[in-house]
Amino acid sequence: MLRTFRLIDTGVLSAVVLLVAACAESNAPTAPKNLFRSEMITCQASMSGGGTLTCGESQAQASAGMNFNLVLGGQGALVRLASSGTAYSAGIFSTNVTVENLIGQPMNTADGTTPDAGGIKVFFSSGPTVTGGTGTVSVANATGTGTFTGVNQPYFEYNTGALLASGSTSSSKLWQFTVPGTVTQFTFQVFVTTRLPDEVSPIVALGLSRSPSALTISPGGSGTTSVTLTRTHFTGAVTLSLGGAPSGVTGSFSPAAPTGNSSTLTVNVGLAVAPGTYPLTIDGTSTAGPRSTKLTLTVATAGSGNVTVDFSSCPVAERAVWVAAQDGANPWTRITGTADVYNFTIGSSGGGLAYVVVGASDAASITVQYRTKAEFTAGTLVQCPPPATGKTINGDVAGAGFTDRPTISLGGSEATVFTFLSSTFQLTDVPDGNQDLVAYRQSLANGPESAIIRRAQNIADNGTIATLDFNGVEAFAPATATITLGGLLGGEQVNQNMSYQVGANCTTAGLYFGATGGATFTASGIPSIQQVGTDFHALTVFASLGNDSRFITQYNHDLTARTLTLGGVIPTPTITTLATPPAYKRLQAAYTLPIDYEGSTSFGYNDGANKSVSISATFGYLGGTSTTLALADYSALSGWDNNWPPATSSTGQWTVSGSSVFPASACTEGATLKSATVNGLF
Amino acid sequence: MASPGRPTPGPWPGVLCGVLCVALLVGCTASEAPQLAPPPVIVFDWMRNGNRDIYRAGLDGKDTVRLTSNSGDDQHPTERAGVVVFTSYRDGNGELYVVPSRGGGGPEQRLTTTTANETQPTLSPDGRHIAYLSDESGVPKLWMSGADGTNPQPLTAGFGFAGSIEASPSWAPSGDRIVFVSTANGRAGLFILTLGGGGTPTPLVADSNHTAVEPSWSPDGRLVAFASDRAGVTNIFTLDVATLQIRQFTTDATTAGQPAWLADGRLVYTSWSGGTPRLRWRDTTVSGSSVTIDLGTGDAQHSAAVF
Repeated sequence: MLRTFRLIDTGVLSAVVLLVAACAESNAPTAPKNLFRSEMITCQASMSGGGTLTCGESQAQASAGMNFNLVLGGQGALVRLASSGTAYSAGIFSTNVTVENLIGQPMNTADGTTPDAGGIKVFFSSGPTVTGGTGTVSVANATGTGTFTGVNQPYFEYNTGALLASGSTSSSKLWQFTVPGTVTQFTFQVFVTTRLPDEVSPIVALGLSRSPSALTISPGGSGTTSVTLTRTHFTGAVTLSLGGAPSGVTGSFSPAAPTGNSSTLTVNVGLAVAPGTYPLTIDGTSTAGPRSTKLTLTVATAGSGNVTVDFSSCPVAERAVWVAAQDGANPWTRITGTADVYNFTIGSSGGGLAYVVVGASDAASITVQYRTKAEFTAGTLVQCPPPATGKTINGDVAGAGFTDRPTISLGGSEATVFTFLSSTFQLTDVPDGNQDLVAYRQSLANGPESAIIRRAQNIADNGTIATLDFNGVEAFAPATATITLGGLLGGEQVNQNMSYQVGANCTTAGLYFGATGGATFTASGIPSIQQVGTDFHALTVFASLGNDSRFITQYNHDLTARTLTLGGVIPTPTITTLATPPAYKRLQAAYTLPIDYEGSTSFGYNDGANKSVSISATFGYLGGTSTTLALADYSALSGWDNNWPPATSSTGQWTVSGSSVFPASACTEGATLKSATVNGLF
Repeated sequence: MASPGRPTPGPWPGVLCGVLCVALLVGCTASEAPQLAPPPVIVFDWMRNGNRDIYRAGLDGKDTVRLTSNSGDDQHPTERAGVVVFTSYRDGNGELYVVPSRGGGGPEQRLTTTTANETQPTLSPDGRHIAYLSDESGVPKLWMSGADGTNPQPLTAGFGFAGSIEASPSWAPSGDRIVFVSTANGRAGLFILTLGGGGTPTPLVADSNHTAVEPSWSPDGRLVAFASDRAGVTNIFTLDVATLQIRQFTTDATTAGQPAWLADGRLVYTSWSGGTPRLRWRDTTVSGSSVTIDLGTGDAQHSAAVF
């Protein structure tokens, strides 16, 4: 069950609260001397995969589940807590935690030289609290308990009898939690309290971090990483340098001595640099004290070939850290790229592409794609579309009550108005030029529905749409049609989703989503009199029963009565755990696809925490409906990390899906897409 | 027309009304029955049956009723007007839920849906509002909403500093003030916020050398009970709001905290004597030892009176 967990190198834990032990005598709530800003550290621990821990600040922007996010405010501002060696075994969840002082002064001292008696205490302001499963979790080896913001709060004490100098990191302390096997997840929130010198006000602090934390560069190539400086009452220059670089590797920072909050490091690798992995550091010197953060450099030989895979347009966090290819049935080969572009050769038998994207807190996703040569070489495989940019447009609706759900779409941007909160909405990334605005008022109480279409809208950036009044003169009642659904097995839950395709670019505008109530139902859409020739309805029907789900989408200009027939149910695949080593979970799925899904198929599994695998294959590559997909053994390839896939002992969910061939255009009369999914547990 | 499947927003006002109506009916019936003076009733969170859930029980430890049942911890119950509001972590983060206080398998309804943690709710004396904590800004701060979770709003914007922590709100019986914990002075102390006044919270107990936490305002408005380490081991003290005189209420050898007043002036609190948290009560007007509420095994905390 043990699995190493890294937090330091990914810059994980951080953010702080500092409560100085001695404070002003005044009872007035004045701004504290010698203090502080503070952000709580929220940690989510999972028992799956041998034990994982993700920590971050609690911020409004944070996603549910409190995944760590490096860029959210305050991260690494005053203190950075980092953990390593996280494991769950025999009812004990354990992790080693250090405290790094990012403040310009020493911690645990009142005068700057004499250690304070209190030490540096990391206390639990909330939790451990069970968020998954049942049972109780407790801190097993706390240094003690104290009254900080409530009574009996456990704490771990660091640097007892010693200062923690600016820029220094404490020795590691083992944190242990008693976690019964019935608990799958728990969370806790910690703050830090320590004594700081009185005479310095305000607190000065500097945090240094980088993203990504690892670069893969071919000889003769270069790569970049963004350096972030988190400043607290400190505006001075920070002189940056690259440490630990081997001969032939150089780094340049732009700017080299930033007075702002960021710099870009470009690492250049000479042609003579031997392939391998090099631990580097990014060092900063300033009057706020020395700072350092780690950077891993992997040097490997560049590839060439008839396939080009381009991650360069992806956000940095979504770029591959490891790529491999398989030509036909030949062994997999590690591919190194330049500036996030990879080249390799695929012959007439087709082949595979595998890549790994890592996230914060050891999260990793592995993607494997099997295709024909023609599919691989049809053009550069751009992994991420260019980021959406466009105008921001505001508006408001009228004629919509609390039980109405208006949806407004313009140029592919969509906003849903929750009328019980506000009648206003904002559309972002709206392309410039004329676009057709579609607004639809769905009733959640079976009341009358209403629609508005405004053609050829080209509203200025930050402009305002005139009020959309669903009871106004431009509004019209939707058309309706009776839809019959074929292929149901009985007992399924069936839902419908109606979209409307408009404009020369066949842009999607959402209308509504709802349950059908059975195999025959009424769909709503745009009356013919309101349509132009390029408009199309896109009706999607979902049917799910247990672990099976199917859907069908059909595109039609007119909304008329019709029958839609679902594809077949994907049979439950045979899931096999392939032999180990390697020391990670290798699953195989064997199944026969129903003939409705002769486009592509995929098999994926995840550990329920932060490790996932997705393997897909086109029907052209497979050559038939009999399908066997499995995660290959990549452990012998350079740069591979056995911690990327789910651990050998992990449990989680698998999913198999199939899809028909995607229509060339959604604005094609009668174009139909069918898909199905089945899932289960491993 | 289409038959959209999105559920209509929950009929919370109706549910609340229904609960109130039931409570009133039961109350009327009970008033015609012989007066047996049943013991006061409390709600609390209890680690029992494999999970931390919300329970209610008489002060004698009898008539225990489990009010919630799900995976994930449920904590910090507060009761008024026939409903219990509490924090649940069943969704992965702290959210406020409500359940009828009479139990009987009543529906548990979610009141908040945010990415932040909503914790430590306290219903106002008239049951129309909830004071609670939200860490939407990055650290827990005092917020208030309607009893159905609507109209959430921060109450202490501009108070303290950005990172100062707030905790443990407790309403004055008049409903116009809230006493709460803040680290605005660097160390946890007690402050009073006057609602609707737009003013800055005023310090009540803000001793730079000691910590004061977990206040509870007495039903008669005269006293605020709180936990403090001002006498060494954390114990419970009472503060006369008019004279600011502080008296030590418990003298336990181990930590005592989480005081909660009952309507009759008795005080329930949590004692860590023996290691496992136990609920105890004492009469503030009578000298004598505390009485442990015999709930059986399990870690019981965060009690609140059922009014």
